[in-house]
Amino acid sequence: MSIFESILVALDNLRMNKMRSFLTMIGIVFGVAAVVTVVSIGQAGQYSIMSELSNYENGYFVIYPKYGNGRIEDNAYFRLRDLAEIRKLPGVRYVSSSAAHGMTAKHKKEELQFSITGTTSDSPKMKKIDVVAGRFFNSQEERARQKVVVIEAKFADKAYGSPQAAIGRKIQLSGGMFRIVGVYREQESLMGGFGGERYFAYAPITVMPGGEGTNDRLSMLEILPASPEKMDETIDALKSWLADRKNVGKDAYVTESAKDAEQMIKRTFSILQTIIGSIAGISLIVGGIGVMNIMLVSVTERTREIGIRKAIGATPGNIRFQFLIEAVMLSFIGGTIGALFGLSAAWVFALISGWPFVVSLWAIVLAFGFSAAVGIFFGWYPARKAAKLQPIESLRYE
Amino acid sequence: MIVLKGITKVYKNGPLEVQALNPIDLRIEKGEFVAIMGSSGSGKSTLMNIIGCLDIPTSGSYELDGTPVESLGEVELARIRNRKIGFVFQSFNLLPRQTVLQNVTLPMMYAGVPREKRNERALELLRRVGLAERVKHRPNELSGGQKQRVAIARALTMNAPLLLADEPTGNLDTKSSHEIMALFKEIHAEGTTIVLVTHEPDIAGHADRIITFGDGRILSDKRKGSAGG
Repeated sequence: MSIFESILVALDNLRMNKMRSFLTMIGIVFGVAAVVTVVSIGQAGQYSIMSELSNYENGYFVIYPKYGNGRIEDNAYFRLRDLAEIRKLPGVRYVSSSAAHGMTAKHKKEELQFSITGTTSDSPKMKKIDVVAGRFFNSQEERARQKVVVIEAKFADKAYGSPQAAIGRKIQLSGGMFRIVGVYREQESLMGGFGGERYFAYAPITVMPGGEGTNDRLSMLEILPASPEKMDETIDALKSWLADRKNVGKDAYVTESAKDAEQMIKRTFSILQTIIGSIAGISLIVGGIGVMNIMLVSVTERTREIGIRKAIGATPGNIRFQFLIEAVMLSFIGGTIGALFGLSAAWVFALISGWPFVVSLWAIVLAFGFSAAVGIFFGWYPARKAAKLQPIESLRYE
Repeated sequence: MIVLKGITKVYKNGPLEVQALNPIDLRIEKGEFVAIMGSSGSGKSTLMNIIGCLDIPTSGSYELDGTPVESLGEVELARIRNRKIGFVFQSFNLLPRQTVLQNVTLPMMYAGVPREKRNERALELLRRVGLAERVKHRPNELSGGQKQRVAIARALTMNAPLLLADEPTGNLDTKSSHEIMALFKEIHAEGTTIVLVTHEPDIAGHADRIITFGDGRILSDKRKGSAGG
């Protein structure tokens, strides 16, 4: 009796008791669906955050004053003139800062909301800014406080028809008249969907308006070390320099690197997946007990059938295999339905959240492997019981 | 074919021990047609089950077709039931959810015969027992006589040298009984050894040798045509 035939016989038997088979499968369906959904969504989240992190050059970190008693010591803020000096420190390659300013733009009598990031010409060398036309502003323009701007392609398309057509145009912002020197494509962001309709742009930090946390009171610096391996030494040197310069303690500043973030995200996701995975695992075990229960009933019901089969030549192995295959088919079909449900749920989630839809092969293999294992594990005892039945007693069973 | 020496069977029922078979010595040669008679509880069915390797004797030795059976494990016993013995039961013992054809092919499935050969052989046998038109039916759509003919076809599929029938006509009317017995005679004529358990003298009368059982003992052993017969 081949495996293929055993599977056909098993399916036949499951079909005989459709309702019962279906109900038994439900536990497995939910368990597997949960595993596949959680792992798929988790991987999608990880993937999308990681791909955002990969926009930063290796070694990139930010430094900002620590909050003490709920506020920042006034002298701990960075000043514009610090930027040039920090750039000269050994171990530092690029320095920038990013401070977003809401501004309104007048375009053809329409008022449009802009979020303009004041930054330095080092910015595109530290993180990915996808310039599609023109160029990023340079250090001369920055030093000379020229009102130049790099606008996002979405606005260029809307206002001028194409990125190329926008180059050299002037745009009236609430901070003055700006000349467009470049057009870039904004990254698809996790947060991209929030905040309503507005456009993004970069301008030299030197032309941004002053005020708390802005122009001359910068609350954050972005640094790229000369060599990524020596990031820790660079951070140390920078903190010493700042402590000396600002007359604050060395621990007045905190740093965060892309690498730190990556590790933290990985850790968070793995903890989340472990917790939810365990819950899913428990539901699979509960499902497995359901399979075992129904198989035990089935063995008792079919005692006479087992006797007949044994009388005409079925070995204990044949009988054991028959019942085992049935249990495995139960949980395997449940697993398949569960995996389809799980993938659908992950797909719907991807549609809603804007995260990528990641078909996690690993999750599917895990779910199938797990459900087959559940079938074998929980089918083993009933199958063994069937195989051990004495032919003569089973034949007499009514 | 069958050599039984000092076979006993004791059933334990709690503290009670029931001696179903007292030491039995019996020899059945190849090609014989033997009827075992006796009232219920006489031990004839117990002996039948031991001969059919469905039950294991408490003591004694049993040799089937040259093989000492008591030394065999469950897998070998299953193989012997599959290849050497064909069973026909009073209650037919067909699988109710399988078709007539599937029931007949079952022993060949366990023997590993390829599907096409199985169906070919099963159809041939069903034609022989006159049920070629019923191959797709389920057992509950057949009469008792037809069910028993399906069971006989199933018993013949593996060309087993020994056919064991336990009250094969017990649930049948007279006409069907005669048909079944005619079939047995035909099968016997082709060289198959037949051992038939019955309590009906006219059914036993079809056999060449009649062994009478009582109280777990052989009371008489008569051959047709022999002086004592």
